[in-house]
Amino acid sequence: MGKYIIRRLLQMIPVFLGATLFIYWLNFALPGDPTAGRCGERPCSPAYIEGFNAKYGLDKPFLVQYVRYLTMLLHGDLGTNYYNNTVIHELAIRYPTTIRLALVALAFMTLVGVTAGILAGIRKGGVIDNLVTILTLLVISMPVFVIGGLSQRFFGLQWKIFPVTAGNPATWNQLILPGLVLGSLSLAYVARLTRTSLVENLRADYVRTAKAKGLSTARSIGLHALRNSLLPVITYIGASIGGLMGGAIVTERIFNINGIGGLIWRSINQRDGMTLVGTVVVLVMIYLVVNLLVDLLYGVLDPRISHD
Amino acid sequence: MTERPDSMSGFIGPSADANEATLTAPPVADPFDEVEDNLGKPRSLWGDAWEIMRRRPLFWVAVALVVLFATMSIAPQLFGAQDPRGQGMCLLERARWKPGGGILFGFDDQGCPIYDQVIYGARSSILVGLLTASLAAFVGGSLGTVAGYLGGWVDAVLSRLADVFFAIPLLLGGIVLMYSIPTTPDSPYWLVVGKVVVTLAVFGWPNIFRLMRSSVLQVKPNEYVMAARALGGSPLHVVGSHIVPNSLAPVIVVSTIDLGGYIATEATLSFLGIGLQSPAVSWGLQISRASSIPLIRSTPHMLFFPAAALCLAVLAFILLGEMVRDALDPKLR
Amino acid sequence: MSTLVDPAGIAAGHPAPLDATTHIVPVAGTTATAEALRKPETARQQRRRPHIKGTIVLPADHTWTPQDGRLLEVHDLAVEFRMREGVAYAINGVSFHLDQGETLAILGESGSGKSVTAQAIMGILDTPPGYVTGGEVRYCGTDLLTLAEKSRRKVRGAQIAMIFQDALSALNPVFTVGNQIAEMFRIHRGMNATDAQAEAVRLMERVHIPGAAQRVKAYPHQFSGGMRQRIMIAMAIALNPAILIADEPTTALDVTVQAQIMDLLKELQHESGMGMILITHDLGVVADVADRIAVMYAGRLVETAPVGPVYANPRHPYTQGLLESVPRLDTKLGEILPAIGGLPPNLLAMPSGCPFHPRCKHAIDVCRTGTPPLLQQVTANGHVACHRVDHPDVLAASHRIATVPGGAATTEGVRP
Repeated sequence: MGKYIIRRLLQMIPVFLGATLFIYWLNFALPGDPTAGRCGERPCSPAYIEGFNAKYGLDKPFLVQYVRYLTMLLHGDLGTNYYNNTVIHELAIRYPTTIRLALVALAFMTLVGVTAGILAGIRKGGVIDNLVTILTLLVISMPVFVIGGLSQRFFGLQWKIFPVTAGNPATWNQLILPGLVLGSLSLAYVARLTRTSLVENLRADYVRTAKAKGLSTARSIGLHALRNSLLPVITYIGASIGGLMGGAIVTERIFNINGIGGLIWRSINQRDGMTLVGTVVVLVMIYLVVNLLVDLLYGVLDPRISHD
Repeated sequence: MTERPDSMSGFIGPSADANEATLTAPPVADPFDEVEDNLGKPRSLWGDAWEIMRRRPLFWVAVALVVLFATMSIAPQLFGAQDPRGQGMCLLERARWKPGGGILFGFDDQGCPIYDQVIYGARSSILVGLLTASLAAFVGGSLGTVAGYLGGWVDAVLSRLADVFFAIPLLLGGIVLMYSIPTTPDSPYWLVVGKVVVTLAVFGWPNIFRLMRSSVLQVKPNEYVMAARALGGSPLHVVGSHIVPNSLAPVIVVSTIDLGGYIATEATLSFLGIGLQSPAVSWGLQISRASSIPLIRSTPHMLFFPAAALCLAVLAFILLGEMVRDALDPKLR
Repeated sequence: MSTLVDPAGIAAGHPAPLDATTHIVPVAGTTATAEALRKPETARQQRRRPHIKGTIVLPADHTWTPQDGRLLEVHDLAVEFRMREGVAYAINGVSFHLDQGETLAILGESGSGKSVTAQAIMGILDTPPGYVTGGEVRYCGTDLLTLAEKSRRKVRGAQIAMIFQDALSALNPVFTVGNQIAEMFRIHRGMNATDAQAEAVRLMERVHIPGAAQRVKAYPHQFSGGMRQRIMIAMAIALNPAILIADEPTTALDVTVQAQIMDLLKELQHESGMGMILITHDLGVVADVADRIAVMYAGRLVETAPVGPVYANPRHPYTQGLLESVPRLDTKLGEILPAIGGLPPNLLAMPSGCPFHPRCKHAIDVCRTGTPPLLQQVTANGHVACHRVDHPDVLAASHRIATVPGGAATTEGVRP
């Protein structure tokens, strides 16, 4: 187990380096001038620009800048942006909102997705199964901004069930509808995966054994088949956390939520590279760590997988 | 080390497919060798799948929709539509007219006909989807074959490379990448489209790479491959005539499903204002314009028709891919 | 739904008589027999025989006592699989019985319906597509098919237990073997976890698993094939069932392990006196342990008899073919073993007449067009379903097959 974790952590290093290098390079290549608009109506004086570039190391070659950035990262410092705010501070005031949004989405997709998948899988070919198949297909076909627009129109404007936009900071109540929208795509996949997995496991020999042991249907399905069926679902839910954080960019924009999505927009528009790179670096780290945790969890839940 | 379950690799962006895990590897016997079934009629893997698909109405619905949107993007004139960017198309006095009275789909807030916009919007979406899916399949497929067949350090390097692009959320990476390649309203159409295609393919190929790699790994130890190698077939010959044909089915299926996802992602990027830019006509741009809260209230049909067209197009490809997958997968029969 | 026997009769302990030769299933509104419905029909026109669903709930303290040593009496059992391609008549009027301490071997090719018979007895058929559409399964005189699921569940595992061919897939991969054995005591006996676990260790020792106390916490994949099958057996015998159904228990195992498992089963049977139904296609296994043999073909019994006479003088041409195809010590080097030509019939398109006729070298017109033959008594304990059972050619073939592999020739009738 210990060896496995070490090997996985070692494998994460090149991936982490590659991802940060790529984003750092893209940021480096972003067009535009970070000093634009800093000196009022007039363009900044060459002396100011020179000082600005020197202060933020922008006069150095790309690789030197990148290595300097990495060294900073190793010290747990995400740097200071052009507005003299530390990036960690910028993230700290926005990440909680995005994480709460992702939690709403996660809860929604797990509860509704797994339940729908179980109901569909138990009676394959039944009414619920067909309904779930059609509804999930519809949700998968609808880009998140379409679902967002539609739910805003109906749940927000027409029926006035949920607020259409969020305050700063957003309340849980304001995050419900965005959370449903954000989780809808993963929900569809969770429902389908649960269904497929359950259908497969219901045909398994050990379920027949459970019946032959005189167990009730509820126990044969609810304990024996379900325990096995949920293994891939847990993996999927874990892996989708990274995607949820990415999807939050769109959802936050639709519902005007001030989370990391908003921060990314702002930093792109203001050419605030330090903030942009820092945000992405943290997202990639979350993705890698969550994936590792899910793999370890899988090893605990499925005794056949050994991490030796 | 334990291999991560396939379903896990499937996520990032709307093109990910959780059910990928159910796509079984090709059966042990070479499926391209015709097998006699009980009735003595020889059938191949695809022949079997065709027999199953052609009896399913949903398959034909998907095919009809794909043909419809393909025609729309090749020859929008056939649908009686005129280029919405043309002279005299937009008349402010018709602004926000509702559909009806011989006016299909109504007019938008600038008085432009929504019908013509929707028909002309198909081209960008289908083109982006098709090109991205082909590019991702080509890059992911070839690298996956190389990694799976050669193994060793080549595999390790390519796999880590794929991990890098997997670890960056598609939308996030897409936004940053789109910004780094600037275009202006004067840029040629192919550049605007090509930029979106490359961006999506950069983050889309690892999906196909992993699929192809595991597919090749499953096909490689089979006896007919061993036999071909033992008979002195060159690596290129073995890969070309035995491994690729037998690993291709899952790639084709997932690429078709992903195609739908790319269309959705292109629309999302355009919606966010960083995908296709005006004067290109695109459903995403139309939805973006229609999505401001005052317009949602006053002109909902401006949002509805492009959104419906977009969803139908995405649905068509995902449905087609799923139908083929179900027919190819003996476990689901 | 339909009730096959008078519920009052069951409650009073007087089951309906079983000796009727032609058994008509009384079904609400129709008295159609299975035969009448077997004529060719298009899939859409197919009238389906109703599915038997029991409703009788037995009192919680119901005790099961065999009468005159008779544990199980299967009568005219019919099972069909309703599929998109049509209806497959998997079992067509199968009748047999099992006594205490006796081993009945059900022999047949795959698809002959032997496993389906076992699943129908256990009540674990997958429905849909499988439906029990006729007959009786009497355990200690009570027709299990009339019992409500709740009552039937108490029989399953506790009274009639079953072991399966592939223990790796038949055991749940994510629970320890101890948990899976202990589950029997917890569900049927309401035992607490600690006691049930102790019972599991005791059972694992009883089936000779070394280091049972430690290995009780291991998972199925951590055992070898033979050990896994021992765990299956431990689970099956946990509650001292009166009947053990073993569905190809040794097919997936190495030859040496096969013998060990069969020895274990014999040993357990000797200790507990349970009746055993051994489902197999392995003629060698049968000769060694079975008392009686029932040969199945295309969902019907074609021959039943004590094991000795079947091996010495098989009367049905199918049984003869099976035995001829077994290599024996006196088989000459280079001699070609006769095989039964052709393929087992497609259950969706059963041949007319006797289902074996396309492969039978003695077939005449009546076999091709007549009704399928019924089991008829030919010796004291032997029954054969063949139109030509008394024909000299068939009899001659019967005598050509002389020696018995395994040496069970003296076993006659029921073991005391």
